[in-house]
Amino acid sequence: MVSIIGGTMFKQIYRFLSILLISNLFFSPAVLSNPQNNSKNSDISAKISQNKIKHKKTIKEIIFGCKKPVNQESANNQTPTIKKPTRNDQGYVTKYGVYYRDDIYNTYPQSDNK
Amino acid sequence: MFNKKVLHNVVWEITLKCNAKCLHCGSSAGDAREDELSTEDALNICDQLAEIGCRDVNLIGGELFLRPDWQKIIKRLTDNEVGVSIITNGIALTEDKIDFLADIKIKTLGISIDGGTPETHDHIRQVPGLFNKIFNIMEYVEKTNLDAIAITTLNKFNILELTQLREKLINSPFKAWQIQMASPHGRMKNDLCLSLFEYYISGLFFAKSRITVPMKQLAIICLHDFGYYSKVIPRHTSHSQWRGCSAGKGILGIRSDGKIQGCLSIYQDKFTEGDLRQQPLKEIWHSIKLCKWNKRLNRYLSLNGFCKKCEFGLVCLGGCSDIAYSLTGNVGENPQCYHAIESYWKKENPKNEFEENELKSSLLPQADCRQRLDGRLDRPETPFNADNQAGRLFTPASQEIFKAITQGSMDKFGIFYLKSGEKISGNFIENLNIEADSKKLLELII
Repeated sequence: MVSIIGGTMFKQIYRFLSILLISNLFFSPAVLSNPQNNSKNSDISAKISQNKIKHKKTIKEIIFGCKKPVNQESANNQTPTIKKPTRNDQGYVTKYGVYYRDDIYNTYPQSDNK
Repeated sequence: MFNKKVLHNVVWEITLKCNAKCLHCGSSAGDAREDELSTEDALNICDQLAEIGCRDVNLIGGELFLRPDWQKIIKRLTDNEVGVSIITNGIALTEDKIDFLADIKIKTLGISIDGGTPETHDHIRQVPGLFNKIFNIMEYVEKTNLDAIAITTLNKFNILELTQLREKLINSPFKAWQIQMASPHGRMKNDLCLSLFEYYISGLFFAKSRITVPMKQLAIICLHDFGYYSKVIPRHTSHSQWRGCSAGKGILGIRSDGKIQGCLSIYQDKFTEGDLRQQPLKEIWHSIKLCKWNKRLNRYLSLNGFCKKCEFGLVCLGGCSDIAYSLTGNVGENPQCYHAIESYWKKENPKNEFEENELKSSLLPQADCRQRLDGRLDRPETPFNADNQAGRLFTPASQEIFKAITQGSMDKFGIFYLKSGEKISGNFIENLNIEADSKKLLELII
């Protein structure tokens, strides 16, 4: 009896973790997104396959939170004189809103932040 | 995946009453709504915003200064440690108001500037003398610690004045320039909407301007209705990687009658998510039903036409919902997309996926118009015309140059080259056998 209950529970946990893993792979924007314009001449299908490779994560990362991929551009934007962005560069301002100057500065490459 | 939901930004229309009659106004502002929130209600909302941890609020109108209790609302928000920015048309902006805003330390003062010349700006705003008034009062703003940002809504009236406007702003106390697209709803007429040619060239103009104008002189940013995934146009938008509309995810809109929208620019009743007179904000914000239409899976399933076939579809989800909806009547199909334009003109024999999709669709779009890859806007009741091929509005020469531009590249100095390696210069444009307006447009990128 105990082994039957244990087996069912194990199955349910296994199913839950599988769904969690698959949905994370499919719907996590951090792993699916592509840079807007950094790869001028590269083939799009090649870029997609590269990103697919990036999707592979360790179980630890999946369960305890995904490690954000290093965004070269935003990494470049960080300089000691500029306050680090308090939000990611997705942009949380709608069409009827207005940006803060520092947030606009953070969209520029590092070389301009002088 | 299980990150705590954070309300980053709320755009709050505190009144719809307005003292201008802007030709592009998407809200058709003018008279106040019949049932606008009372002062007590508004202050209560300020407290609720703080309670759910809202970081920043943008107060807009109509014209916010026309609401008698605007100072109380700002004060309550700042007392609650919520960041406040405001957007004004500048008509009622006085030294007293500027002092108040500076003392209370609002984050940004956004002022609408819609033309490179007084004539154009005042015509769009329908307020004589406003352009000069704004630049006069800006001299006082400069003496304070306020961050003033010019906001331009791009349409057919002002696109050819972008260079003039940029120079004017560089030589003014404005520290930054935010640009957004006018979308055809409210008072904005369909024929004021940019064609895709104009849209694409304006993207190049802003990308070039960000390269050539020093950031500290004038920081330039285009909102997320410009994009997406271009292989040609360098970054000029708020996002380096567009990951789909934020409506209901990190942002909310509050109407002056207390109704909640995922994004205030998608104002139609079918996108109303709740009523603050009936429910607490916390309940609406944490409701699983909030912006169901914008959930990733729903958005993905609603993709249409080119967006449905697009390799970025799962991430992009059709770009800006407002633009997509106002141009096609569907949030899953956004013609104003650099990637769609570049893909289209890359073909030997361009074929319009948007039209192809419409042939298969038995449903008429719900918005006022549709925009096709040739930039045409059609009323939904207009029957599909098989002759309506892309590029029909341009001469073959214009089509050729447009095609070449969408496959070109911009170097690190902001100089644009065609795929053939030819540089876009004044002489090059002079020798083109194209319409005068197209030449003027191309001059934006030299």
